[in-house]
Amino acid sequence: MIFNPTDLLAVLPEISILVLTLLVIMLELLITRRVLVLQIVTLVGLAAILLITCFAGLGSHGGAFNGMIASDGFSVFLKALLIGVTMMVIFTSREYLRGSNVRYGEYTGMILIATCGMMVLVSATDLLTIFLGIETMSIALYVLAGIRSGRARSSEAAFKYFLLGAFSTGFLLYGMALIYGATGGKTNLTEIGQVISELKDMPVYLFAGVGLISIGLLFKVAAVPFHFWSPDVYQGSPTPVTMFMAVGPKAAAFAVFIRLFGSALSGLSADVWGPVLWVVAVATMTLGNIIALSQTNIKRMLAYSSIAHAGYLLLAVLASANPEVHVTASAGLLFYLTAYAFMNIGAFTVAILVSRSRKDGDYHIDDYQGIASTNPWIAGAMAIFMISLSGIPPTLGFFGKLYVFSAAVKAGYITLVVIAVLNSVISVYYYLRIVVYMYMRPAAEPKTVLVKEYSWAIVVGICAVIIMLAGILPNQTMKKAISGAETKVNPTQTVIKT
Amino acid sequence: MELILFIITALVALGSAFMVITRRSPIASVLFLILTFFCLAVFYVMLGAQFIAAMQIIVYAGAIMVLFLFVLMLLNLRGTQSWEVGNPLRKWLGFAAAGGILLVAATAIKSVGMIGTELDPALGTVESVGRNLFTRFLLPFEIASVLLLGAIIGTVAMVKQKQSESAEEKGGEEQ
Repeated sequence: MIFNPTDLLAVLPEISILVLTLLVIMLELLITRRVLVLQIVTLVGLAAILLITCFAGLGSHGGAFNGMIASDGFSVFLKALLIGVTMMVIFTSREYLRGSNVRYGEYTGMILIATCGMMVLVSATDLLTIFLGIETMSIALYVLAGIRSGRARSSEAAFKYFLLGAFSTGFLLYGMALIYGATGGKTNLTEIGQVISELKDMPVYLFAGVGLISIGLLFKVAAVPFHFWSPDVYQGSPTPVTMFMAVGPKAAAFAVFIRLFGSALSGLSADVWGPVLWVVAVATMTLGNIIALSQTNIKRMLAYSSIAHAGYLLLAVLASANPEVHVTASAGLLFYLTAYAFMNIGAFTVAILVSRSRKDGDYHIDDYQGIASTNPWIAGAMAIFMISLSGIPPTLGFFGKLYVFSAAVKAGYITLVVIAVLNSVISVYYYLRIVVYMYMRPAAEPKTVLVKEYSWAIVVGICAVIIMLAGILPNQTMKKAISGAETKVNPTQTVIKT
Repeated sequence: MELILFIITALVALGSAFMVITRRSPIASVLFLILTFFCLAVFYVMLGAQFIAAMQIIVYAGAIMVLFLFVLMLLNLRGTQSWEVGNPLRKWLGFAAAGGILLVAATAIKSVGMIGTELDPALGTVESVGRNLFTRFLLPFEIASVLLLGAIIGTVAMVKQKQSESAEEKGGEEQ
């Protein structure tokens, strides 16, 4: 019960992010015009925090603050990934927002606060910290979605996201309250797991609580049937925010999913949430991929593709409820999320580049015709992202799918994996359509000549190189993911031991 | 004595809750909702939870009600204007949802056996809430402050944008 000063080490990354947020906001008051300085300060700060996270996190495994959060390998891995994502988003944002009325300091501040919320979320091992993390992340994202307030689409996106998000938070909180009541006043995930494993007969409202919590979380990862917000919000938000939204919250929400459902509630997987998530996973993959086939706007296409990817990731959650494959499934999830992050950031950055070469800045896929002849490097990188998203070897996306699917096979979900593989085949059509447009179609008149913007080209290059290198040498990344998953604070194992 | 107080407050709470859903004017509904919240605060005091009672009045009867009235004012709903929903299906869905909540609450109370249980007298006092906040729930308490900071910065950022936008010409339609 007493506060232990060494616990501060566990939240050092979050504290540093907060300090950086305040620094950037204060600094903006002094140097309003010099956006470049602000950007450099933010990036250097984030790089320092990345180092802090990697080194401070390794020291303490296990819980801190009375089991409110855990600084384990799992959370350190995801925190490092989230900081990397944030750095790339900040790096692309400055040029994107040039000429708009968005104030850079507050924009960066909101992104950093959202990151702070996600970092709390990936290390949360208590219902209270999960809720607060989700809210911190979501409130910042609502603001970011509507940060260009003059535009109808941006306002629509923010409003839709806010209303539906607030509603889903209500579900989540009610579910948590019911679980709190059903377990006799427990909020800690480990304790919840223990109480549930000892319960003789399950009260009905425990099931209701699990159902409501899963609705709240499925909304955050945009799974069918809670996906309706995502295409509109992705399309309407400023594109750097869209890529932040597509990657960060998904990684954080899946971390919660695996800690909550894969560990604490794993005892209920067979009769309560397993079959439901099975159906949701199939619906999410299939619907996401089929609707993506008919999209002509690249942002909407990527939105539906990210819905489909949430479906694949649900396989890892389902598999992780089996104690024997828990570590494999968690490692697969970490690997997949890493792959997913780089593929999406790369693809969205190319989308920015192409849209900015049009006068009206639209995101039509016809603009990709013949890009290979005018901009071979960017076209090559986009081809890598598309091939990786569809899961063709030797890219990172292929290995992500491989690890997640093989964990699911080990846990006995063979039908589900067959459906997932069939879905991947469908997805090849719309991903490779972009590649065909770039390489095989003649350029439309007037030819698309891409703007020369080095920050965007650098981000595209970094993502492409990481996808190819890690795709050729997947073992290094997987080793990190496995060691992260192994040191994860894991209530299932303690339950088995007792 | 306490029983009489309880019965009176409970009747007022139920009566005002009924008025909330039967009034045609939204303003009247909101005012009756305030009365309901005050009655709930009385229940908390009777349970020995002074802090929660104070919170109930400050947060619900105070802040949230002001928010409700403010929204009604912005929407400019006249007092006489009814806010009936067109689709009758919605009414039945509402009934079903309320019934479901009632069912869950009933099973919860039944299985815990809450009626007649002795409560810890320190529960809900300012002292015990404060002690818990700063020991066991220290981290969530601090994260809540980050959440509020984010909300403040976000609000300022959006409002500032609106002002500078209206000063300039109306922006383009699409991105």
